[in-house]
Amino acid sequence: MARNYRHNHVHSALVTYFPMLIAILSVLSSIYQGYLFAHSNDLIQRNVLRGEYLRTCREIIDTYFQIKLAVTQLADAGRGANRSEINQAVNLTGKFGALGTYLANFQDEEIRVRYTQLSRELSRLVAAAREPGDSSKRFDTADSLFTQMNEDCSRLAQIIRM
Amino acid sequence: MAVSLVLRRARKDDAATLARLIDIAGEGFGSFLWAQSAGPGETALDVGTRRAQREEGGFSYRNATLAEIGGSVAGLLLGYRLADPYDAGDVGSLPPTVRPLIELEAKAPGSWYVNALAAFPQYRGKVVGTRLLVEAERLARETRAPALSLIVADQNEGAKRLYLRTGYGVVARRPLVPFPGYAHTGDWLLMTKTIS
Repeated sequence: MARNYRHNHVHSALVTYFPMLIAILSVLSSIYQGYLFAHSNDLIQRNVLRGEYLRTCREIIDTYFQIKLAVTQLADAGRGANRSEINQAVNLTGKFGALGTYLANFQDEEIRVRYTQLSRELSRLVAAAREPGDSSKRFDTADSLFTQMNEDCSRLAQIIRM
Repeated sequence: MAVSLVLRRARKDDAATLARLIDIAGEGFGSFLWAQSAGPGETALDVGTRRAQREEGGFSYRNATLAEIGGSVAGLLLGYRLADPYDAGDVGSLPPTVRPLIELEAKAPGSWYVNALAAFPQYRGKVVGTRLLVEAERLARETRAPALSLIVADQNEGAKRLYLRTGYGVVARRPLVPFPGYAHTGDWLLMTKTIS
């Protein structure tokens, strides 16, 4: 009799609590899935951001050297440089400024100021390219600012990867 | 019309150009070494071309990046990651001209080694060299090398100034054993740059 009573008691406890257990497991599972979704979303966003950032870095590096080449050619041509060569160099500095602004959005104010200085220095170099001067030191200021920009690029790419 | 500066990986059919640029980078050192293994009717540059055509080895085209200006090859970067640990082998059995270079390479194991950096004379003026050095850094980062390294003659003031200006520092030196016709004496310098 007692054995029958205990059996009934266990049976009714099972009937009562089993669905609750299933419900709790289901809630936990959906919370975990939500976490995984948010985490993978975050990872995807970071990867997209990193890819975009690296692409812009590559483009600004390329543009910087295109400007240097253009300045060297304008200097070689002197007063004989034609309008399209000058326009091309000016357009490149505009592009550099735009890319620099995008990269600066990831950085603090001090770095933004540095990028602005570099953009202005490049504009100055293009404007003064056809004037006679010491060509060996022409790019010293720009190169120094550019080296820091290049380092910012690799440093931030590492941070975004984390 | 404005011309542009473009970088590209070297191809096997660039081998002859690579040999010329490697020789320019070494100020004739390549020709000197290659001449010693030239067969009958073969020039030093022919040997260099064969070396550059190989799929493996330091001079392989696979390790080369070319800079083109207006569609013409202007300069070369030849580099790769040094083994870590670096097995210099029996240094005593090497030709005396090569020995100090191997000893210096052995001091930078695991670094991304800039074996050759050169521009044709008509393209010299900083742009090609500095562009290729920036590319060297990018390639070094891709391989997760902790540093870049290169060897330059102490008396090669122009090249040394470029490397110092771009963040390289002297970490070791060895007496240079000049080969016939080489303009410099003094020391070879091992310069490295830590990758941030």
